[in-house]
Amino acid sequence: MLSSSDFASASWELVVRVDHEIEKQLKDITLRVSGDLHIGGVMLKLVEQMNIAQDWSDFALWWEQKRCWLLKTHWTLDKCGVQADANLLFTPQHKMLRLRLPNAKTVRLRVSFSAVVFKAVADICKVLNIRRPEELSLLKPSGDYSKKKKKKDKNNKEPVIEDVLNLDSSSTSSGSPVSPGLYSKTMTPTYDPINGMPALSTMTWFGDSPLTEQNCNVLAFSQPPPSPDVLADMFQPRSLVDKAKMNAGWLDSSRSLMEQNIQEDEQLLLRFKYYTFFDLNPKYDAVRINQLYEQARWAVLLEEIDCTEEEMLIFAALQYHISKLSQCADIQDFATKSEVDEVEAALSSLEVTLEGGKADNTLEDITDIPKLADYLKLFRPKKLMLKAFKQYWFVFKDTSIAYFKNKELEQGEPIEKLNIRGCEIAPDVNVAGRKFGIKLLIPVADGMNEVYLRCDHEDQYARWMAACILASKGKTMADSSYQPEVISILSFLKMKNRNSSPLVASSMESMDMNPECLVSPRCAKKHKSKQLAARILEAHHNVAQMPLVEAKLQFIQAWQSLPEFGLTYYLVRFKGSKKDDILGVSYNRLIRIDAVTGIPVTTWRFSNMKQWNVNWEIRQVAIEFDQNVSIAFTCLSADCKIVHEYIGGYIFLSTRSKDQNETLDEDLFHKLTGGQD
Amino acid sequence: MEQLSDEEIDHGAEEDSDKEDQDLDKMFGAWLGELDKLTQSLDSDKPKEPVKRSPLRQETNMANFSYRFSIYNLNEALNQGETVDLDALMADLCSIEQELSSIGSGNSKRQVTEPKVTQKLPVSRQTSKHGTLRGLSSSSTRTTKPSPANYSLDDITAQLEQASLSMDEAAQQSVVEDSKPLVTNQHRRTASAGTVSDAEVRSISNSSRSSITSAASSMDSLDIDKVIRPQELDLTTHQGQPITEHAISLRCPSKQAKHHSDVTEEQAELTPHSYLDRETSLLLRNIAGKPSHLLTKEEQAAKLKAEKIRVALEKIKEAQVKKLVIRVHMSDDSSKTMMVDERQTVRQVLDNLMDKSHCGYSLDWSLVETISELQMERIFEDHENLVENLLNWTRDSQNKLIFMERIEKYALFKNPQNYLLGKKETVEMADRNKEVLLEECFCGSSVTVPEIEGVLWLKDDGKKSWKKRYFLLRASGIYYVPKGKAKVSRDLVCFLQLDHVNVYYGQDYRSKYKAPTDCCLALKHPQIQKKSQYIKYLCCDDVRTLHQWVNGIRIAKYGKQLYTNYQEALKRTEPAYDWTSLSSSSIKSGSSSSSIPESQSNHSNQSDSGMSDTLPTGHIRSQSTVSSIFSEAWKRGTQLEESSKPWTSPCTQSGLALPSVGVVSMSHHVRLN
Repeated sequence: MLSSSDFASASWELVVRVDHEIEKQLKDITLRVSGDLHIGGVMLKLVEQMNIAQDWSDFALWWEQKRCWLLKTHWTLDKCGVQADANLLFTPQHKMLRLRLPNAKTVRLRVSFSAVVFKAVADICKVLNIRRPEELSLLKPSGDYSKKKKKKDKNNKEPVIEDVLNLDSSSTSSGSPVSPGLYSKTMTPTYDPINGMPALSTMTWFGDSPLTEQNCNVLAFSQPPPSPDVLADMFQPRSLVDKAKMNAGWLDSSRSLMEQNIQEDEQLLLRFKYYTFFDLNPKYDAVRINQLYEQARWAVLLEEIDCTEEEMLIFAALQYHISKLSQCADIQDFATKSEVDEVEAALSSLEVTLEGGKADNTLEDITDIPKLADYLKLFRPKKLMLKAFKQYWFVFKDTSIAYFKNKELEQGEPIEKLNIRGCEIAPDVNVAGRKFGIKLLIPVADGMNEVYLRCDHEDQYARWMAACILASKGKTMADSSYQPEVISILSFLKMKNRNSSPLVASSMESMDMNPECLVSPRCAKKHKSKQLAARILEAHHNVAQMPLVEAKLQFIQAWQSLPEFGLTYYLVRFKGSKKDDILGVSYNRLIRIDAVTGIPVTTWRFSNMKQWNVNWEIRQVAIEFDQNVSIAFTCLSADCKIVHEYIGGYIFLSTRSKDQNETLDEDLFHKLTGGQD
Repeated sequence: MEQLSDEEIDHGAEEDSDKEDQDLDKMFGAWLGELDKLTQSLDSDKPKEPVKRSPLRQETNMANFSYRFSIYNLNEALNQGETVDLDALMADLCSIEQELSSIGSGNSKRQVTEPKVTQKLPVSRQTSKHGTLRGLSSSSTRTTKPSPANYSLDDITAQLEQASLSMDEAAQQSVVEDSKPLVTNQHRRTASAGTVSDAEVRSISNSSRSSITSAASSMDSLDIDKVIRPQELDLTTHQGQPITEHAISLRCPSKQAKHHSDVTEEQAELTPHSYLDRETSLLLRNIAGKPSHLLTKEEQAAKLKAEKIRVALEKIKEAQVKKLVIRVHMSDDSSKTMMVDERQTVRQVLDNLMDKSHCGYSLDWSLVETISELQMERIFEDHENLVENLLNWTRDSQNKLIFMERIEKYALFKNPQNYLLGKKETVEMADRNKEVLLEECFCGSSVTVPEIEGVLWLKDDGKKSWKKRYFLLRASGIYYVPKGKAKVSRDLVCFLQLDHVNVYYGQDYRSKYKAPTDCCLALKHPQIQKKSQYIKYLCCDDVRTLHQWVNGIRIAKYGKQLYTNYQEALKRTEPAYDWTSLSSSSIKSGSSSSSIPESQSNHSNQSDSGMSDTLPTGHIRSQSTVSSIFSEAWKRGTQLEESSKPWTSPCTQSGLALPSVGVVSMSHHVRLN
């Protein structure tokens, strides 16, 4: 069988194991090769010898001992250093991977195990429809994280699997658009001339992402809030050292998944790694904004980032608002297109009636401002006076409230007229106690006038409260936001109502709106549910009129304005120091933090940085700043490559500019983060 | 005078001594009262009810506020016997009048150009009393040709229905008003038409003198067509007269009404008007719903008329803008009276003031509000609405508005490193790094609030004692660390949220409240004007800390807006720069290193003069080169220069020729220096 040429060039036997997908088993194939045969030739030979009609285009050789791919097909075996003892695996470059997204959903999709992580992430983001993939990366769940999870996994195994959204249909049927079938245009894949990587024809392959509309919605709509129990069970970092451990798991962007020992079907976390979110645009970034919002939300709920109680309540109010709106959006989504149109038409007609025809109806606009008139109870706190509410006839017109002794005197002089514009409004509500009060703080020259109004029932309260809220912002009830405001107040009252009833925990629906699941467990423990709901309601008034995307952006912004935002912690030992410190890496600075007290010691800004380098032998990062300041440290909680990449990554991201087109300068990234090369 | 509210009369009574001043005051009172009523009457379609006086302050409606406020300012000025810039004021008033009646004047021009239309309007003169609708309807009858029907049928019908409704209302209203002895808003409106012609006259007279001025003024809204009208040209010969005429008409409304009717008659002869009548409105109602191509010529004309009315109504609505006469104190103890409208931002008013006072452009010019009763002051931010802020002042307020240069205003952007890095000591920074820092802080997707924290003194409510607390600034507000707790975010107690409060500099609190130092700041709702438990007082150890806190709070409160303001302000300095740069490049480069003295003086009061990236006024002033004189002259020349002239001698002053304008502005500089 052996040809003469084989003997002539000192041929030897090479055993290649074939990772045969269809037969689900490994098969050893022995080839007779010589050292000057190039890799492409080996593969060709291998395929010929197996003689199985199949698309082999995605397959490549993986060298087990060296843990590397043999992707440069024009290299000879000699050049690669492959000899007879080499364990080669002929395996597909794309394998399934489970990715846990920031919104706690898991997707399963086919990812390149041979491309560097940076590129793999870019491809993943293309599938998921997330722009600016350079901001994201893959995080291997840390040991602590999974340990804590284990207990939970035992009873929760099933739902987790059910949760997986399969974005790769090729695993079941071969003819789908995602299948490697597209590669078979040419038998041998083309290679990038520069780095010898297979030039994934990503443009065509990922051109239209396999996201069906439904899948897209899963990614772009926020998930309902978790139940408090789930929240309590999840890992919560207690100290900076805990936080440092979480950050050890970032994969190396300049190596492939396979090289980093990631197994097929392993679960990784897809996270926003670099906290500079470039050009967030509601038009293009539905998924990106939502995932960002979700990451921010979990960071707040799990206390990965600290905030004050007031901030926590704002976050809670925004979460409530977003989940509320998302539910509505869901319902709308299930409706067919035509129905949506109908809804829209109805909405716009409602708007027209509310705004009095707006553009083509100036006359009505001038004259017709809706008003409210009703009997309400009033109370003005004064010193040494008992709290007594007195009933008056109230008329709310424009942005002011006037009240009269009774209805008949309405045409006359009011007892008092309150200008609501610019005043502070707080609910004074106890649903269980049937108390529907509005507290007004009206600024006047010598301080604030405190006025309490009390309504008889929810509807009345919602109407007057909404009018007050609008008026405080200088809007009248003619504004289109009035009706939605009324509805949102009513729905909030229902939430509080449900909480006050004893039979809570059982129904899923009520869990959705449980105030405890909108705040961190620690904050929830501090307050009674009722108090919490009241305070969230209070904060909610400021955000109640926001559309969905804006609310998410607002949440992200509030998150960004927390002092600790964007800090990634690592446990390091500074050169010359006797104790461990925490190093905080942020988008614009490095902070040295005392590991025990958590107090920042020194801050260095990237803008002052002259150069930095890594001594790979002693695993030390050395950085030089302006004015001859230089520091050096070794990283204890993670590989120093990770810290190095973080710093380089931020510097890479700061080079982005708006006028630049969206192509990624991958080379620059690797230059800044690679270190060795 | 019978329509003066009791309030105005009050003020008249308060007046003392000088007879002429009193007259002036009344005149303006009447005038402003009219304006207010005018706007009020536009608000409601109902026949007017007598204006109610409300017993409590917060009930008084805004129009009254503005009126009262302006009177206050005038009174003060008059009592002090200073020369008030009444001429400038008058120019402002006239410009409002123009706005109000621009519909009418614009229309008359069109009719000059399209004479054939005029024959169609025989009905119009009969109803010439109803000034309100005069302009509108006449403009509507201008063309009889059907307009290209590019709006949908539904639109048209809707508009027609409306229009007919409105016309009916108007008709009713006019009937009601005719029966009343009161001088109604219609009359006033026509009166305003009279004033417009005055303004025109003046601008025309200007135009005869300097081509630049006339170009500017004619652009303002006046029609060049009118220059050729004989009657008005007559008036230009004796320039003082129109102004006195104007004054008379204001002082005595009834007479004025007669006077104006003369004027309208004159105008009517030149430019016949048509007035909307029941006939037309009936016609309109009939054609409602008909497709446009089926309409007869008349009907189409009616339709067009309706459309015009709609446009005109929009303009009226636009015109019901609140105006305020304010008195601005200058840094040299003089003061200026000017008019601001409620839409104007502080930036616009500042620009205006800079033009009028010939002080040159600088970033540091600020409008400062001082509340003497509380001994606090605040620099208004450029984006704020001036009128809104001033309406918070009480009637008997001693508050002042001062136009002065304040280095603190934009020090934050000149030397951001001292404010944004949360460092204790003043440092130097390269200009490039400053830019990077500002960009980082203000141009990201969210604004980074500087991490400012430290021990401050907090004044006890109602007591003159101060307690130390550890305060922190966050984007969500000011917090403090409760006693016995660590500085952990979740344990912080919220001291104040910044949405509703403004930050003020306290003045001399050491003696007023026994503060530990004089570096105090106060936080309060802008509407609070008197001592209150709702005002929070904080005291810092040194000026530096004070400025850091104040600026930190500004950033937390206004965010990116602050930076936008700064950049806007910077842009304003550029036109001046363009002219002077020819000869001053050396100075510019020299100034880039000028932040050094600041660090030496270490932020002692107002020493923060990092002028590196701006064009300082001193720069312009110190220039005696030809280019700067010319640029100043150019700037002045393009504005209506009579605005800054004293009341007594309008003729001579406004008659300055172009070259001397340059001299005037230069002399101002000298004085300011």
